[in-house]
Amino acid sequence: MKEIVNLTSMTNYLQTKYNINGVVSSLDKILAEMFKRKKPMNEILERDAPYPLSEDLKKLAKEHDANIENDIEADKFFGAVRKSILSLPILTVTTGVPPTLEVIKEINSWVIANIKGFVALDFITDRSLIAGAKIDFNGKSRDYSVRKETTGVATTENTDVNI
Amino acid sequence: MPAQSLISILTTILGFALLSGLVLLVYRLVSRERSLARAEKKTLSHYQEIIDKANKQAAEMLEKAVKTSEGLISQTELTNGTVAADLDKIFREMAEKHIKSMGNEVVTFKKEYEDKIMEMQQAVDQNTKFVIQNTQYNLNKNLEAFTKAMMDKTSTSSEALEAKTKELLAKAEAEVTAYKEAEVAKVDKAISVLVQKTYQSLLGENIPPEINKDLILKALEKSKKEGLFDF
Repeated sequence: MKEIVNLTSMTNYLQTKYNINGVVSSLDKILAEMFKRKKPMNEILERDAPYPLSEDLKKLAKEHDANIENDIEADKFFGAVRKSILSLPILTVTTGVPPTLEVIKEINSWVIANIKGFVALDFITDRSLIAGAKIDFNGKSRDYSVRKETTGVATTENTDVNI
Repeated sequence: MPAQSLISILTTILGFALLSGLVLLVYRLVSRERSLARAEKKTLSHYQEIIDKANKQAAEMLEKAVKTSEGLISQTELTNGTVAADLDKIFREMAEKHIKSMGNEVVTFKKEYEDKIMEMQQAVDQNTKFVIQNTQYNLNKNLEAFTKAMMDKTSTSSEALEAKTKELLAKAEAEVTAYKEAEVAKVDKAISVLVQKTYQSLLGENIPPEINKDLILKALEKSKKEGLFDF
């Protein structure tokens, strides 16, 4: 089994933090069932993971030469996948108005075009921002909201926060 | 009959013999008693003689002792009279000598006393003069020091008062400034909240999606320019 997990084939499932939470939840369920029922992994994936995530997880295992029918190897592999997913960088965009699908697509496109490497997105709505956005990434924060503009405080002020 | 007479005669003889024996016994007892009484009387008379003789000798010795005592007393009285006269004379001479000596001593003592008094008076006068001068000097010196200390103290107190006043004034000014700033900050915050609420109520949902999208993308661009996405 390869030690470093390459999640490129799974990016469709990891676009947003919401998606990431869903995949992690599925992995937790798979691992729990594996130890509880002692059934073949194929059966567990088909029964407890949503399609087509179940099929893509099988492919990912093949890509990494992991024999998921072996309980110990399966536990090790899915544990590594889970850890890699949770360590993905997340760009949090806080807006004053809930983003529309068009806005989400635009932001996604901008991220793909402007940020190197894979970044998952997380959208939060805070009505007090009015408009504009507050950007949080890798422990740093920038507030370019209308609220910030109206308070008269410099928008370039660094305010590091823990996400 | 003769037998009876014989028995009677014999009985009479026996009776007579017994009576005679009894009388003889009484006689002997009485005579013995008498001889004892005579011996005792004789002894007593002998004792009386010895006592009388002793009394007589004692009386003679007493008389002799009285005579000797009387002689001694008369001799002693005579000696005492002579001794008293001699002692009186000696004492009188001693007293006269002593009185004379005392008189000389008194004169000398009086003179020495007067000299001493005079000397003491002079010393006291001199000391008094010195003490007065010294006191005057010390008084002047203390007065000067006191005056100087008072002047210094007054000056220091004045400076301290001035410094304290300045400090209190500065503190009061700082407090007023802080209060002003706090109040202004409160007002600013209230205005800011009010403005934000106004913006929020006026804009809020009314912001066109296009403008909001542009604002979000601009926020991303600015963040990128500031290096937020640099690893």
